[in-house]
Amino acid sequence: MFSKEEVVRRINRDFIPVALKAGKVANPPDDPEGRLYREIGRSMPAPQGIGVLNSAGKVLAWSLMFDGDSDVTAFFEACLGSFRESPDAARPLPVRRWMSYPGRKLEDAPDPGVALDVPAGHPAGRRCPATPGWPEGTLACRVVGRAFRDGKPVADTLRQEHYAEDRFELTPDAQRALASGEGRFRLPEEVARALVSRAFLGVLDVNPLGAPGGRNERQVLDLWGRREGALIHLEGTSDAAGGHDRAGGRTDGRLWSHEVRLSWRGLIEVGEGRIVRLLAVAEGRARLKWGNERMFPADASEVSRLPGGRPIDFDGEVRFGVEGRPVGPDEIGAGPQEGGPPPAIRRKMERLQKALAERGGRGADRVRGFLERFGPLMKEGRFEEAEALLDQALRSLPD
Amino acid sequence: MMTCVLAALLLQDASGDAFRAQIDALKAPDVAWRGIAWRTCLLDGLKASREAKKPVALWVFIDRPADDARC
Repeated sequence: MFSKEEVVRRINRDFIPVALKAGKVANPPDDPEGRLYREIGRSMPAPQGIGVLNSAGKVLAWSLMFDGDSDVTAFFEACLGSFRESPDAARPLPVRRWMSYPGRKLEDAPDPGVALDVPAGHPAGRRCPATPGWPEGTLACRVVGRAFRDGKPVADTLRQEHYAEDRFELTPDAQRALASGEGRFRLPEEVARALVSRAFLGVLDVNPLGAPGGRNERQVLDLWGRREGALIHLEGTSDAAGGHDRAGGRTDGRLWSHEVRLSWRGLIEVGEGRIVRLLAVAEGRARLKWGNERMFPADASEVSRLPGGRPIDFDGEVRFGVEGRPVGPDEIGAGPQEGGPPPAIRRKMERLQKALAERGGRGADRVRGFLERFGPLMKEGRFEEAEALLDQALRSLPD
Repeated sequence: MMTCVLAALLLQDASGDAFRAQIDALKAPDVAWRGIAWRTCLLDGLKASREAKKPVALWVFIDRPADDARC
């Protein structure tokens, strides 16, 4: 959606674009900035969506999807009108909300009734919640993956089954385990898994090693190191396969299978028990099918099915590259990995949001009751109870 | 044949240059979804909104953690 020329032009010309991670909106810090996040989350119909704020941080409108391509710019155009009415906190306006703009309207959310404090900056000594830090010595790795045809990269870079970028971090402990290897040795599982688990194309939901609502069916992590002084030559193969999980009989209707077989080579430089740099390439084949039994018709616009995605049927050559370097001084600090919510909560939020979208909003009223209790539990760090509420919300959805 | 030659070069590559070249060759320089310069800091975005007198286009997303900003 954000690759369409007219949408890009309008947003760049008329708006200030801001992207926030859903997890931060659901679990904001307890300070004035966090209250802005919480106010954003208050009126959200689902854990992710597209909205417009005025300069006081008040949400003017939300939409999860759009009926057609031209309705994306129409939505933003309409929001410009709302902004002219309420550019700041002076004039209250209800939050207008759509499951899909403009055809599937949801009930407006009331104005908060109070002006929010917009701090000039983050509290002294605190990082921006959007850019969490990492422990000193962490290795930051960037991944690029690309589909190939007849030995050449597929030109299209819009579709994630053709082109994807990702990142992951390797802990100092994992690096230490690797750096202690001598002669020819099997890579520590944490390192091998980190590499293989990011080497796939397609959306996050089709990770063959472990995806939300998915089941891993095969994993071979046959990666080896060969030590030569400060260098470790990486070589080996990986073979991962996964698909949708029907265990328990409740899914959001997704149907998928994904196999990725790769040959790996690389060079890792180590020093003082840490990785100084990591370079790895992998090439092989992938077979990916993604769909949903409740998916909208194949000829529907992609913006009308944003959360559930579109069908994917890919069978071809793939290549991946991984570059790792120690995090810089400006990246060191407390991060989301310290005391944060378990990944299962994020996955269940995602499932809930998609399930709601695929039902055209049916069941949203029931879910809202659970989500009102969910926020305070997350704020208090009561993650087990929060996750149980998400389970109840998922079970409450109509078939 | 080319793959075999490349593999041989990579095995001898102690500097990492060949690996880096192969990784760089995978990267697409001008992907369309980077056409919007999304800010990640809410406070920074609201400050810019006040200064430019423009509303904030807000995207709350669940996606890969890199700047792989597609949906």
